[in-house]
Amino acid sequence: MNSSGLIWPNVFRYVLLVLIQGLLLKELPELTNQYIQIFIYPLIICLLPLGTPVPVLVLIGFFVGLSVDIFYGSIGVHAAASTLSAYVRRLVISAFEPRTGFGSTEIPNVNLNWFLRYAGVLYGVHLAMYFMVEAFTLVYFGKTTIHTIVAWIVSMIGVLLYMIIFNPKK
Amino acid sequence: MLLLALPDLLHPDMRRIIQIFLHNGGFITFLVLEAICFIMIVNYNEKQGSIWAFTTELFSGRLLNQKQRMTKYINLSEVNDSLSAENARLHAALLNRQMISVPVKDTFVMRFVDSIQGTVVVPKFTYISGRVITNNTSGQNNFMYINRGRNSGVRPNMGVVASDGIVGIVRHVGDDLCVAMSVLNRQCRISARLVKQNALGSLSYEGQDPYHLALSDIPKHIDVAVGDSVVTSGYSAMFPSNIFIGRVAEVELPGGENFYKLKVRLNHDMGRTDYVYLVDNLIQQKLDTLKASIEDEQ
Repeated sequence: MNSSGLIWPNVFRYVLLVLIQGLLLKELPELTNQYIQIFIYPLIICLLPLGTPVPVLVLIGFFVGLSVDIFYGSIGVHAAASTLSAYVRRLVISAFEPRTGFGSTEIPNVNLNWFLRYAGVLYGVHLAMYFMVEAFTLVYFGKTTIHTIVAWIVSMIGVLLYMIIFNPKK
Repeated sequence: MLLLALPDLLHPDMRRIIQIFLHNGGFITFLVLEAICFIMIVNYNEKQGSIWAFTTELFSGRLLNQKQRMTKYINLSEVNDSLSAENARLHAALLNRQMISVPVKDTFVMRFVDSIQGTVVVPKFTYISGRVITNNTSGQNNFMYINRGRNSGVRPNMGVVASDGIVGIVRHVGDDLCVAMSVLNRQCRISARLVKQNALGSLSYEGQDPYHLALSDIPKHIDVAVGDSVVTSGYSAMFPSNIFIGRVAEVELPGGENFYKLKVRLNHDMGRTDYVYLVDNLIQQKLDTLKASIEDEQ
């Protein structure tokens, strides 16, 4: 395993996406409609190397979420969503595993189509958890669901943009 | 990668803990981290924290409510005693308020004396709270035992009242016990007043009916109707004035008589007397010591 070639791109991605999320994308709901919430940082978890052991994944997810929380001022909310999606990632990857296996690719990115499906599911889980924790009550479940769906749609557009611009492949 | 370095660097117990985290497919790590997230969410976020606090309060509130429902009967008697004592204090405060006519512009207005500066209220009555230990309503001359005596300041000829009417008069006093003559006693006479007509009369027990007393000395020229209120007149040293006794139940004017034969229904149910107040006439005490000192001199 070429460790150093795997770690630095991820660190760079972490810094970049957390900053974009915290400094730019955070302001979006206030400037536009309350519903337009774009989340780009779950991509950090999506694009972590295939071989990372689950405990490490979960730990990284926790800290990624916590970093975003610091910007948003909501300690623990994003962290809760990120730990869950990091834990679920293994399941999703094994469900989406191509018939021929991943082969020599280190990053879960077979092709754009595949990645969008994979990221879509992971985002779904992440956003559902995030909005449920954010509401913390079942009373407004309809509103929570609408938030989740709209944020999912908008965030997936962001994911698509990111993949087109950066196109990480290994 | 890192797993290979573990055995050399760390304490065996630490190794064990990390092994637990690593050998469960990440599940334990996940649980622990999510738990940490939950604790952080509830503690550092107002909205989530207050929802959580509300939920736990509901839950513990229900539990505490159940517990209270079961345990409140344990100290019921203490609560009752303290309420009775507080009532005595409040009754005394009410009784001792005095009202006088105060000139205001071109008319007079009734004002409480203590609301006017420069006046002092001289307390006339105070209440001692107590409980009836033994009671009797069946005989012609009924007595009751009350759990207060000399040690609580009880003296003979003190009036006994309840929260809803008059009860009797103290006859004999022991150290921690006293014997009171019930109003249902042929020897007991209470000075009373018809409120509407402001007519004075005397209440006594006929001997048969424990719910009614006979009101005598009301002259026939006065209009009396069923339902008129009867209160203590205040002309005896034993009871403060305007203590509600009951209502007129029967009006009878026997032919050729100059006075009514009235039956007054007692407001207080003598069979259910429990918490009572003994009326301490403070001025009476002064009069008694004065009388005693005069008799000493003679």
